[in-house]
Amino acid sequence: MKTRLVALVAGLALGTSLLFTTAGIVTATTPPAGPAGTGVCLTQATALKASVTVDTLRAFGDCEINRRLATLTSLSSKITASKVMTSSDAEVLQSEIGSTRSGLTTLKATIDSETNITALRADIVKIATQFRVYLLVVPQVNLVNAADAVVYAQTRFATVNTNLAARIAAAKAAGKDTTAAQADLDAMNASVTAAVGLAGPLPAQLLPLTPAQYNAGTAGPVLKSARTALGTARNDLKSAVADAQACRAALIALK
Amino acid sequence: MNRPIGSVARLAATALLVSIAAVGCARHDGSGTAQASSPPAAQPSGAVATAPANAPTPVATVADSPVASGSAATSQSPAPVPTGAPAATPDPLDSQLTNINNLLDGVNGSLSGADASTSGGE
Repeated sequence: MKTRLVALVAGLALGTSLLFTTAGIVTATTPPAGPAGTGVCLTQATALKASVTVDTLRAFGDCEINRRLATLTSLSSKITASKVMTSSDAEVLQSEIGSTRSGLTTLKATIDSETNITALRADIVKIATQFRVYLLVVPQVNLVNAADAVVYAQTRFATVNTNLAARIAAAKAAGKDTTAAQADLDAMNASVTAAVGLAGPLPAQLLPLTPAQYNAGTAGPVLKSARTALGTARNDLKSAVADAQACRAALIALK
Repeated sequence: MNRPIGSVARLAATALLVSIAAVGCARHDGSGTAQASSPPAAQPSGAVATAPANAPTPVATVADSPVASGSAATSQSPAPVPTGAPAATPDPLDSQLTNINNLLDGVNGSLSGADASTSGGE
């Protein structure tokens, strides 16, 4: 158990230092964010490594739980603010966030009342293993939002398709050779179809994932696969935008 | 003999001035009352300004971005008042592609958010 606790503290410290570095690249002058930010519990982690007592364990556990609660609040706001996430996906994720929040709150009460060091150690390990806020819930919300955005983009491309198809028809009626423009438009639609084909099934794969599945090693590959698919889908949509612009350029060249 | 007449004349002149002033004040008050009872000039424009906030804001009409930015009022502001010089008609395709690019920015942001979390560890 002590080994697991040390590993947890070390992992948190490593993650913290890594994210400090990342944040430093983006905004060098911005200090770490509030309770949801990284490095917030560094003081408690250091104190715990120096002396394992009920107080240091409890302080560390409370801090890590509060950090996760703040992260969950931020995720909930992100879902609420999303203009592309479907209502059904949002409902599932908000429910997951609610149950995670409830579980962490209960665990915090347990930690706050626990006086046995061995039991406290076990409770603190549960903060990570029972909830997987950063390794599962955060990626779930972000990846589902990205997938829904790709699917939502299809409606936007449909408008572009209508627009360009009308121009092609007009040019054709005027006796112009619209072969190139039509090829660009076809390519645009093919890219959009490919992107939606990749992103469409992802929410159904991502939403049911649980911390237990992550701990068993079955959720991680699903997250990784979804991330790869969404990267490809994003690139497909970028290509589609380029195809639309090429189509318009081809039509302008006919005038 | 002349002094009483002068006094009467001064009295009459004073009364005339007072009555002229009274009539003037009465007209001024009347117009002020009318202004107070009529709607303020700014009210119609205020009603126009609040109209977008009360109007429904369907998702499709707001500038596309996966996360709401709170700029719906800006993105739905009415077309600018035409000036004397004829402006070139913007190609609607530009705004359509801009909306899609905004969506793609949001996809990138979500993917970055997922990456940052998993690389940071639990």
